Amino acid sequence: MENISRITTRKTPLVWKKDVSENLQKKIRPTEAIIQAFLFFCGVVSILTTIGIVFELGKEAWLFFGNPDISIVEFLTGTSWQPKIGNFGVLPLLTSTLITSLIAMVVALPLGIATAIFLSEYAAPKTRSILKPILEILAGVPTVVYGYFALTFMTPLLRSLFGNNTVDVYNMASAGLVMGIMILPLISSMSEDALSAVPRSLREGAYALGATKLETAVQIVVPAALSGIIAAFIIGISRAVGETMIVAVAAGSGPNFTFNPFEAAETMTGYIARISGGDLSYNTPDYNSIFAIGLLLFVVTLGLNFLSRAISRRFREVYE
Amino acid sequence: MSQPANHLFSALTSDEAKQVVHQRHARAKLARAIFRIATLLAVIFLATLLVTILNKSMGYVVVKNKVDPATLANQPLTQLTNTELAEILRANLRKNRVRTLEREGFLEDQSHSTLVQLVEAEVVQPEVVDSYNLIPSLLNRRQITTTAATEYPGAKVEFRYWLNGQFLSSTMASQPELAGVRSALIGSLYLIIITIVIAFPIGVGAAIYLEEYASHKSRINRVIQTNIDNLAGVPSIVYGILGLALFVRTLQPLTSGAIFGVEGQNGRTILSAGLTMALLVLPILIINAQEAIRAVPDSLRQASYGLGATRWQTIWSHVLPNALPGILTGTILAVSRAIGETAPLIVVGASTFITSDPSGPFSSFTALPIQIYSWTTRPQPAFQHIAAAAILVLLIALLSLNAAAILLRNRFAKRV
Amino acid sequence: MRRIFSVILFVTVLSVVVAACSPTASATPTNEVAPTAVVEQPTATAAVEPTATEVMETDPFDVNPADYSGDIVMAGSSTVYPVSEKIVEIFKADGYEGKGSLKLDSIGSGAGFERFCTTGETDISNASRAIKDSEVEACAAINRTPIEFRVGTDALAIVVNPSNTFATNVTLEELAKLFSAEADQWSDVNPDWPAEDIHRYVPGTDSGTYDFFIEFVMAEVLGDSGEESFLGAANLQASEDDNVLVQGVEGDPFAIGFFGFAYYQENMDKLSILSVEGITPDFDTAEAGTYPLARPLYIYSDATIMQEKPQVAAFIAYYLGNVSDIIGEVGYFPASEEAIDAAKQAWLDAQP
Repeated sequence: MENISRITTRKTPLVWKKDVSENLQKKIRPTEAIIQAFLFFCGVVSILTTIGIVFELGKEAWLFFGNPDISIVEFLTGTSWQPKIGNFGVLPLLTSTLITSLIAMVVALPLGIATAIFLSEYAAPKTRSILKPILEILAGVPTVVYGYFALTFMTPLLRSLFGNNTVDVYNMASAGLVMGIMILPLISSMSEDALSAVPRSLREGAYALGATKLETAVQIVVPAALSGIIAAFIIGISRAVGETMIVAVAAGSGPNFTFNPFEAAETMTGYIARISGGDLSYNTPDYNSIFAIGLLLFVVTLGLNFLSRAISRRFREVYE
Repeated sequence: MSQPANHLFSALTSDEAKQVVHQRHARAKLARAIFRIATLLAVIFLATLLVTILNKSMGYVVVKNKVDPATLANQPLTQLTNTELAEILRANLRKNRVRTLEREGFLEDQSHSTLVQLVEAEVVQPEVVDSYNLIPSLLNRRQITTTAATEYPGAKVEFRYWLNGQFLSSTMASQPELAGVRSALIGSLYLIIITIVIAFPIGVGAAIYLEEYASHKSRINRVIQTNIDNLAGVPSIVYGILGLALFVRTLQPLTSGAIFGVEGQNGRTILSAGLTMALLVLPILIINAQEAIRAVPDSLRQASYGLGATRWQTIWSHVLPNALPGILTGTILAVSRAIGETAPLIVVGASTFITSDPSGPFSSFTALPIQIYSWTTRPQPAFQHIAAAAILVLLIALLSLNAAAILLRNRFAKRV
Repeated sequence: MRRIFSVILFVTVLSVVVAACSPTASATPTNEVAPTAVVEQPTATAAVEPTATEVMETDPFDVNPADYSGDIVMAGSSTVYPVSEKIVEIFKADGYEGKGSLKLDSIGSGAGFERFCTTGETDISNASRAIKDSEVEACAAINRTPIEFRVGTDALAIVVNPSNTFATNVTLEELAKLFSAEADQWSDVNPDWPAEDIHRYVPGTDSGTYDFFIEFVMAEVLGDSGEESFLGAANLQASEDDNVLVQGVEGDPFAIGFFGFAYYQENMDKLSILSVEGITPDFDTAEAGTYPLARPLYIYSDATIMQEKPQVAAFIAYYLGNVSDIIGEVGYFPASEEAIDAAKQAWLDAQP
């Protein structure tokens, strides 16, 4: 007690002040520096991953295009993909990728946006609290399960609707439809986030002018959230383009240059999965070709992601 | 500007105005119904998905014995003595098989029930000759029994849950009735452990760096952040290709365990797959961890600094403990992504037929989604049934993980 | 709170369903009766059948898998896959359970040799064709000398959808045409057949079955352009996984496909098989070689591997000793006794 009171009543602030000022000078703490360096390294790992992808894909793709029989022009414009006999036109793989993605978006976009509008504008909090987890479950189901679903449910359904002669056993429509179901929750949850971000005052303003709920939702809220919805749409396409298991199981396993969704045709990802899962011989054009296609896939999805980000940044309406 | 509008309104009689309003309301109602149906459709999809899988995962099977027990003995098997049962086994099994069974001692000395089971499984060999889904099993029970009686005389009709104890405890086999997911489950478990061990520290480290250290003005930090966001959108199969080129081939001495003295392995090991998976979930983990760290109020940090703590002390003792539930939730979600991923494993080279459990990071392996994929592509209906059973196992694992994550999230939400 | 609740509810419902799924007698597989190895094993067998055991013990192809341990890595032909799969299973049941890992990949003969000769990943390579000179050279570069073991015979099955009643027999020439770019419709090959597109389901380009078909059907009829014509044909679905082909032909009324006989045998109720040049593939025609598309099945290994990994040598010996008994069950035909004896001799020669 005595000590304490002595300290607190001590009248030598000058000395204290001096000590403090010395301590406050930048002190080198080796542990802190090491920790910071380690944490920085952790951050850099992601950059290394990207470099790794670009480097490894680029290296093998370089070997692929280095083959004198293969030209980039033929790669991008040829309509037959049969590496064994020297046909390296990526179009059949590309068109089927586009067709399956398109079908998926035709399913996922309207349903996803309608679901998002319902959840954010119409649904009572109670309903929302039940529906959102259901959508989350749908989003969390592994894609191989969707593949199983496409093959054992969607394909037989399509074939019984349109006839066995019209619809092939493996077909793009079945894969695309199921892919749409897979992407639906992604679109709806991203769009719903965008819709919920629109401030209440806008809605109330519309109601005050006598607008119905529909008019408010479609003419006020959706336009205000449009950048977010478009971003969701683009991310959805990117997911569809990169999706592998559904198409590998249900879309067929032969490159086929066709626009008929009921025919079998292999997509880019399906081709990569088939070649690397089966007849993988190192350093052959077949093997190198999966890297060339992988690179194309990487570039396409990366471009889509950038676009989505740019749109949501540039056109985002900022409300206070 | 307002003139024409006014003119328009004044031109409407009150009846017409009512009609317009009525139309608008009708339209609104219709739209509301459409939105509701769209949402309902999403729910129906999920229900259909689950019903399809459940429908395939159980139902009646027609079982026929390869060898009629009546030709083996005059009495039912259970009434035979041990000696008689042993005789039957010796007469019908391969010599090596008998030798294996007798490693413990004479067949005669084994328990009666064991011998009966052995005779049942290895001599009588009941085989599933026909199978039905759950829904027809419930609706057309009588018809199934009569068809079975005419088409497969002497066969037995029984209800089978394809997901059963034997399915969980046995390894891969060429006959669907005997195949199981044990090796695949253990493989998936190993895979997840490796993924977490690698991705968790790096992911949390990167998140701490970006949230606590990095200045948002520095160009390199902005590049890192954009890069992480973009990596999260790269298709999983591209990671698989990276894993194939980098871990399976370039780093083969490491991933095959050769530099640790493990011999006779190639680069297609659990370690390669785990590293690939770690890279795949890293961006998701970082983004989730960043959000958790960002949610820690600044006042905590300032209080800590105010007491003279260093930056790392502040992070370690104040920020991290508070962000931990959020970080763990994010990790669980990232892991549940890793469990279901199939495409990268195909590319990295998981085996479809492997009869033993993985013994360590340097063994070749199979995983649950790979088994599902390989069974799905088989044309025999019985394989579709066990694929459905394996899917159920996978979904249950996923749902439990997600439930854990949501519980954690909720607890966290309450505390702040 | 509501949200978690509904999820938990969901989980509970599912787990109840699953709990109901486990039958009361979740019997452990019966072959797990012997949990740990016991020393007294020889006396037990000796006491029961002393003479028989002693006599048989001298046969090097009567292997007791329990005497060996370690990993065995195999890969290759999807045609040979079911045979190896079956051998692996009985090898395990006969005492190898828990002794080591047996790995078997169905990736096609060519890719199998790639792993065996170029990357040296495998101990045994399954093949539905003989090894090529280029592959032998690749093997030599990593100091491996492939040894060939004949294990059986396959009759390549040409299959169509069961609803296809117009085609029951094809000549080799028709067969080549059916799979070439020259014909788009069935009627292009035979005017009696309908004017419907031919849907082709074929093994992937790295499989031995593909090579065999190109060599003995396409090249035979169309010469050097056979392969190009084959791959240039419309509506062509190719897969290393023969199951995918079965599913395709099964569901496609105007489909035609080919693969190893075992896959036909396993799915007889869903497919129709064609006779070739009037001969139906079966035990007799395959054995006698009169079926034009009968072909040998092989496994390959190397003397050094067999000496360094005794379990590999034992497995091959076991393979040769048992394959003829089980191959019929799988759906192929046994090799002639001379062929098996030659394989056994090759095995003996590889011993130090």
